[in-house]
Amino acid sequence: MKKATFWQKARCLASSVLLAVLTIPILFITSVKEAEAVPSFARKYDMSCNVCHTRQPRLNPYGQRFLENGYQLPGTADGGRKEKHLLGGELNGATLDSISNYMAVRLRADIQQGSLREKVDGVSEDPDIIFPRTVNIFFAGTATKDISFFFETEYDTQDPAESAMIFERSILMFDNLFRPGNGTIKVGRFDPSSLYSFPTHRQQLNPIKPIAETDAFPPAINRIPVLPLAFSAKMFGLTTGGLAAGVANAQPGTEGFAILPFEPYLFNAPVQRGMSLHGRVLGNSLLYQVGLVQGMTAEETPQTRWDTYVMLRYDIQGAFSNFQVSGFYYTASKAAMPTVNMGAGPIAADQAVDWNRYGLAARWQHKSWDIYGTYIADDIDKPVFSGGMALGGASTWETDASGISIEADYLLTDKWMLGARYDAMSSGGLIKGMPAWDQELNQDASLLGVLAKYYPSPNIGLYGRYHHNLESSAKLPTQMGGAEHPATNLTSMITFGVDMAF
Amino acid sequence: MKKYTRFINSLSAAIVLSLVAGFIGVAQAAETKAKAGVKKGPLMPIKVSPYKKRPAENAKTVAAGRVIYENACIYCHGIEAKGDGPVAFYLSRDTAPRPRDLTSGVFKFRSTASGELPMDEDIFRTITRGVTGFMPGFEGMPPADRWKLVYYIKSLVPDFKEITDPETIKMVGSTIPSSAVSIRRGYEVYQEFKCWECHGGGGRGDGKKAPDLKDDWGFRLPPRDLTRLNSFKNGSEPADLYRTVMAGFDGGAMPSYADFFEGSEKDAWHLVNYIRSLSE
Repeated sequence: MKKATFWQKARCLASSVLLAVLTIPILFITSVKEAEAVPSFARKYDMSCNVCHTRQPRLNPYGQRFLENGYQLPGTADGGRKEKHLLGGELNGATLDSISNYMAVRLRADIQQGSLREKVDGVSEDPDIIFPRTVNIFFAGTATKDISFFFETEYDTQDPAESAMIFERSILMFDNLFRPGNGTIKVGRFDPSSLYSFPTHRQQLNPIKPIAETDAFPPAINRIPVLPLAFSAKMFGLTTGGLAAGVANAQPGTEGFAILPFEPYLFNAPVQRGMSLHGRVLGNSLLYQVGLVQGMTAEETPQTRWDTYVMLRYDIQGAFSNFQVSGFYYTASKAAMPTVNMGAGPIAADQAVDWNRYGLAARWQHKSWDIYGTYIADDIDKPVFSGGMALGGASTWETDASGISIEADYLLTDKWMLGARYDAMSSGGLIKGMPAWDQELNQDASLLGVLAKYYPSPNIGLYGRYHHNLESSAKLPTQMGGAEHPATNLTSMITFGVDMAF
Repeated sequence: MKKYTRFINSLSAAIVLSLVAGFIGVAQAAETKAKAGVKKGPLMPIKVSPYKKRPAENAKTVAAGRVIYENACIYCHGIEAKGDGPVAFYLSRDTAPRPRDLTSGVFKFRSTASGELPMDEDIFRTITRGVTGFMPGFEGMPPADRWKLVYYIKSLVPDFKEITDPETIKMVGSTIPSSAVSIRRGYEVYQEFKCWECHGGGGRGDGKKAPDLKDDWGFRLPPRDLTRLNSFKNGSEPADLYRTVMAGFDGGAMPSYADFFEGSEKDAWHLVNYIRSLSE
């Protein structure tokens, strides 16, 4: 491991000073008196954030039911806590909450210090100080009885490709079909795994994305993310398209061309466009969800593809506890194009491969403990290279991959939470481009992290987290240019940040 | 002729006697009302209309109430309504209030005397308005469902079957308009009854006894900051505050002051005005 230079140490010190300068006033302000400005749902219902969160942003069982019920209190069919405004006009029936009751802002910022063996030339590097990093503005609530909505705009300073305000998620929900709680239709751009037993990205305390460029194959990965690795694509050697010229989003040079093995994908993608139906029909314990989300096939002439998924979740409640277990199956037809590159340019397989994903998750929330884990497996068709593609034909592939993520959080006091997380990924996809390679490309990855979170107020979380790469002990070149393999390149990462919502 | 004369005389006498008796009765009633101005019944300064559509209380509506409970309340109050739902710990780990054990027979928000069970309307009001900061208000739930929930909650405490007419606190007089004189008198009452010991001299909940206050279950219970009107758990309208002062919070640290105000109930209204003035 390289020793930190003087300038790295200086930057680290400056980062710490800046963090202190930024957070001490917040601590002071929030410790003087209880925060009066709280996010929209808390404002709307005159409640503490902890009614729905174990600690913001992670949902407790009540918050999960609130989400499931279309942002309405469980057991009710209308999210109105207070009398809504009646809008005039010919229809004279539209009602609306006060804007403060459906609009909220979430602000995330952090200081990161990643320790890398090597940095890939030409790839954007980790910025040391990111403040603010992400700003979200939410609009959510009920438009009228049984119709609810969620719109989220996001500005992400870390993502140069999307460094503008974009609509991240936008959902319309039609609730209480058949009978209350039996069915909710969700239409729009949403996270398919929002009801799964493992908290989604939005419920993570400031997920740290990968630093990579995906417009070429193989993708240049400067740093793997500090995300639940079970969510990852896990497959090396895949792209989103063929190599036909003039086809948008399916050729080299287009951002997103190469699929990052470490990026959340399919069922666990942060956003997908489509529709889903969920509800509880066999009593209060069993939740069902079926969904249809839209994508593009990875064929030479991409066409609309419809991925389908089904999820079941079972909840058991006890004294001060809730145990839940979920299982899902997600299938995507012609979702990825196996690709190899021996230095002369990418070579695509004969046809795109189908991609299936299935997983199990369990979560136990008991008194101070919140423990959850998921195992997610992926499989793809065996790639076929023919038609004189000698180099591609010599490649070896692994069609299965799996990942596991486990986290345990412990509420030490009302304001302090400690946590630990373990992530492991058994990679699949391209093993070797040619038999002569002495290293396998699809290296496994695993990270161990510890977290400490301090909540001066229920809507403000200050945190420090440290993640250590358990695979970083040996230098593993990728065989393509001799650069360090991304799975082993990151040795550790330390982060301090703030995640607050108003 | 004599017969008719006797009949007319008897009828006249009866009418006169009735009129006299009626006049005396009305006069006495008016005098009583004028003297005391006492009203009995639930003190609930919210819309009365939902209370009129009240379904019958029977095994069927109690069972329906249980289904509603399992959908809406189980997360905090628990499967057996003992206040041990999966969210209870996250809601308040170290300090009160924890969700109420609905089987204990101890109810915080009442229109009845301390130690008494609440009236149906009290439970209905709490469900409807919630508890600021901790329990959502279920105005979005149909009133009939809220009543069924009331019946289910009552079914958890056997004593409800025995007590059909709980003793309510007396609402004597009505709201006294806030004025400098009234607030001044309220301040004197605040000092006289040593409200400052818990709520502090300025009403900010920082009295000398504040750090040691605990509820009946041993959880630390910070006194309410009276300068933040919108944070009052039992409501902030004058009648809400009057009810809180007179009935107290069973299970909590706030005692009932009904006995102290016996015969000087106007002072309770002055105290209400003083408390409300702290937020202005």
